[in-house]
Amino acid sequence: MIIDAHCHVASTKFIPVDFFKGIARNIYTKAIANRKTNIQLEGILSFLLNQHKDHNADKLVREMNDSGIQRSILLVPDFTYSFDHDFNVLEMMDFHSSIQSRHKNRFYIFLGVDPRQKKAAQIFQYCVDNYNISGLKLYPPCGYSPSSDMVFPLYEICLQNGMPVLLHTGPTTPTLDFTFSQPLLIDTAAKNFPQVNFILGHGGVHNVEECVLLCAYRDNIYLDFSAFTSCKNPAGWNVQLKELFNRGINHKILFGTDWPFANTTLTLKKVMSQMLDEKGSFENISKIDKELILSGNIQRLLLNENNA
Amino acid sequence: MLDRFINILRVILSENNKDIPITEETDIFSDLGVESLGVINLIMLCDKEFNIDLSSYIESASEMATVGNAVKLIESCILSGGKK
Repeated sequence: MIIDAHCHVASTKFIPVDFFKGIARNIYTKAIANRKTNIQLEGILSFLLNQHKDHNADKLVREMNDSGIQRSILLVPDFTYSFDHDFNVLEMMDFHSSIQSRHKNRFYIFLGVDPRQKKAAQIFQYCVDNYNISGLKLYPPCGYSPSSDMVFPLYEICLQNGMPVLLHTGPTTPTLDFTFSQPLLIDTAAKNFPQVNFILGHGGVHNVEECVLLCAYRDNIYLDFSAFTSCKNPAGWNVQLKELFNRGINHKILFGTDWPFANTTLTLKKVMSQMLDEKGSFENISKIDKELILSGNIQRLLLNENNA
Repeated sequence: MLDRFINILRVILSENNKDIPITEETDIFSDLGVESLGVINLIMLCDKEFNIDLSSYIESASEMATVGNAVKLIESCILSGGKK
């Protein structure tokens, strides 16, 4: 059983254009430095937008089938206060609910609600009561600390419903503020809500030392290693994961891809094949630990197996 | 078509990979080490060379995979007028 604990629908319906503008600027900076003079900023943006047309997650399901991933968690960040966007949280919830129905038993949903929304707790509670959601997704680089008091009502709802919280950590598009993406910012909330489990998104890839320590010493903090194919380890992502799996926290590590952001040059099938190869990331890792990382840990964090 | 595509591919390859033999089976990403910037460059050069809009046509650049696949995609893009 493999569960991808961190992915997104590759659709401009859910990821605003301004998000891609920042990514395009980073690519353009590299292109200029490498004298790729035929590449224009607008062309890069157009390329990125064209890669995000899988509005119903049909391609994602095909990729999951090809690569042996049974289920995935769809994360729905709320960018209301950062970017112009065509859809509000409830509309995005509707779209994702349709995707859940279209592909039965394939997707869990972690819904994002920006805590600065006037009725954030009511919106989240409404979605918990009326949709099939399994967790809360936070995107602190939008401009808030995950340990701010204003987020606590959302954590109360998670507590009452046995749901985990997954928060983005580490760098993101340069059109957002990296200040609030430091992993340690979650610690006050994690201490105040000891029965809520918190997952450090990308924690096995960015700020790894800090994330590993938080996982080792705070019993309700976990990390995922989504976006591992873009890690900056000079020895490559397989080495980065091998090192991570030898830190004594395999009971806290969740497999995640961050699909579609690793999608430019790699299929999921190719990534999974390289990861699961006998000389791949799990070389010398026990069968029990491998199962925990690939599905067991996230299964424990989810409310129950039947809510997909 | 294959020769024209390989010529474009040679333009984007890093100095270290310039002399690698390229056949239809060659994997653009794992064999030739083409990364995200390279694939954007490749697609834009193909658009110009073949007067197409390849990035609108394919769902993901990873579909290209091998040189043979990429050439087939370009051919079908040209034949369909850029629409799937």
